[in-house]
Amino acid sequence: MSRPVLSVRDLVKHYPVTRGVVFRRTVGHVRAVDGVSLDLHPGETLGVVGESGCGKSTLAQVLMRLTPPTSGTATFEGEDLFAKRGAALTAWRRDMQIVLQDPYTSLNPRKTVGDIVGEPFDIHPEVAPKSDRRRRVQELLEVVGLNPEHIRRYPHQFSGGQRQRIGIARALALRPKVIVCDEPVSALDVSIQAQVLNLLSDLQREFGLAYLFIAHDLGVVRHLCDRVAVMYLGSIVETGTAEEIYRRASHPYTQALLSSVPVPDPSLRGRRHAIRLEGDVPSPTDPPSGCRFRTRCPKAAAICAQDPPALEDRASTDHPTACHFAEPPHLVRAE
Amino acid sequence: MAPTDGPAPLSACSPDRSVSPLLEVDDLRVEFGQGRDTASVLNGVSYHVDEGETLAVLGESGSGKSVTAQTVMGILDTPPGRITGGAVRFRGEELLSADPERRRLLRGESMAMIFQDALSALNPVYSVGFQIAEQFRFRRGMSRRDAMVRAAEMLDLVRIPNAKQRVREYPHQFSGGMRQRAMIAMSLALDPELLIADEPTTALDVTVQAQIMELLDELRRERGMGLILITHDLGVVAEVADRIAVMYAGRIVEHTDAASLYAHPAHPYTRGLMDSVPRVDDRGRGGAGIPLRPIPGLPPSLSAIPDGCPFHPRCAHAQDVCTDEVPVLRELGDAHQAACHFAERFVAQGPDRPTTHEVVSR
Repeated sequence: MSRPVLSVRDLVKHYPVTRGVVFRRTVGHVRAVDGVSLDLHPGETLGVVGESGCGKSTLAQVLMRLTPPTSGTATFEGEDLFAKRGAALTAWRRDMQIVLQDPYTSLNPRKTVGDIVGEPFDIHPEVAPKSDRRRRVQELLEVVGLNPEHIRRYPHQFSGGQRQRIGIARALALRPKVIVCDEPVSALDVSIQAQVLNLLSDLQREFGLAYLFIAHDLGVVRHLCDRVAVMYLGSIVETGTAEEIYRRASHPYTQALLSSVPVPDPSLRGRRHAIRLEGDVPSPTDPPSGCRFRTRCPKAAAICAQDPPALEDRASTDHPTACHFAEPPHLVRAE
Repeated sequence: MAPTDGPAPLSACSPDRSVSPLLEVDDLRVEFGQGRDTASVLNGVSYHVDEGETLAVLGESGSGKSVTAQTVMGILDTPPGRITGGAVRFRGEELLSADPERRRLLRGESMAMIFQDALSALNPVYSVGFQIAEQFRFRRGMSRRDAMVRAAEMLDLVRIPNAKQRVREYPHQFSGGMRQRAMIAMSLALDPELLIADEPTTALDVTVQAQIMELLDELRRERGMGLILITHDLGVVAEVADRIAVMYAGRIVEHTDAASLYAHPAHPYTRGLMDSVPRVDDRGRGGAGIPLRPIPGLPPSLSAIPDGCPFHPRCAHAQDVCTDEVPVLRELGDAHQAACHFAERFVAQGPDRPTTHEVVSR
């Protein structure tokens, strides 16, 4: 396998919980990301899935250098990502860009589309000389399937799907190597969502992009991703190729997630049963001892409360799983 | 969302049409705005729901699925909304012309609604129990204390653990799934015969969504309630609906039982939706991954719905007749209707999505 473009080891991000106004003291920590390791290779899509509050967006923010990590390391093309300062940091930002979830709030309503997509060139004037900028912006709009004549329009004159395309054009402007997509299609209607997903696939092929694709929709992730990492309460519980995760999921949490996704096929009705999880996700300020999933896990035993299971290959699986009792799932076939 | 006592029925329309259905919406028309900006939000919507049955209304944003429900409940804001035609009948009783007091009595007693965003539907400054108990106090004349006891019973019914303690808590102390449960408890307090659920699980995580849909399905079965499930999720619909009405630009474009809709989708819009959804049983990238086939273009602006078939600008099969003539819902046999000039041709073809057809189960 090629050398990873982005490599993350034991990444931790804790947010302090404080009490008091005058004498602020820290009474605990929200363990948003608690020991995440992953590799992203050039040109591939790595999906990060998990439910709300599992830390997947915090992971994106830390990797984008929008918030400092508590501990852990990340390297981008072999260089220490968190050590970058000043000019080196600015230069690196050309290589890694982000597409955000909400196309309504992530675009400045007072700027024209031309200004929004062209703004990266203001910060990185070496990429495109001023005289060339208008043409470059129009090219970008065309690449993402928007009318280049609309360069003077404002975001409110576009639909949700079109705005997401503007966000993608902005991320593409500096020809990055990696784009972090934080729930890029979850605010869109089904028919529009498919258009944007196809656009992301086409762009990846054309520009050789690597995507770190953060989403909660397991169907979308299966469609787009080469490899998948499943997160629960700040850690990765299972990782593997899309095929390994979707057909041979061996962590009980992954299995519960997959079994809960409704499948548009009424012939499965009554033959397929969701693995029902009890209760709610525990608070990340006080995660359970041992395995974090044990409080809701149907397989939990004494060992799970003491021994946090490592994310590693197990006897019964062909990919790393953080479960003492990993086993292949029960599959049901449609007629 | 498996029923505990065997497969859920996949029955089509109830055979006995001589008695009036629980709810009947007949050629409903609603407009918003004035003059040139008038948006035709509903353009002749008709459907019915029988006792104990689940009708799913499927559509994207702006298709009119929520406005139909708001008109049925009598909570449509007028102005800006304007009901320009049609009828809503509950057990044969016409509602649109009924006086507001009568409609107020029907709300809660006979029909109730739950909403997508439970946090904004609940009042943050009153305890959850208080908000449920209100109905018992003002509609049933119970004392505060008795009403709170009943409220706790309702929370217990929707399987909120420690209902007796939690009844005194406030909405912000509940998780997303529990808030939705509390709203279901509130809607069922006066034992309505019809429940309208407007995107009840859209804001929830998938494991919680499975719990809530299972709960709704069980409650519907136990109480013999009619359920209108408004959603955009083709998966949720496939698991619980008896019948499905697909809406586009303020019209119902296809209507049939759940099994036929997925096996023989007849309207190009329905077919387009099915081709657009990435599924967990897709072969995906690793296998013989195929690109999604999205519906091109955008839904029409409701103040400028195209002539003829409202879907024709996005339809790959559009002919001259589609731009000239509005297709009416045509019978395709077996209580299957679709509003497409070429519906007969499409219904004969099955859907052609390659999937593994393998899904994880318990």
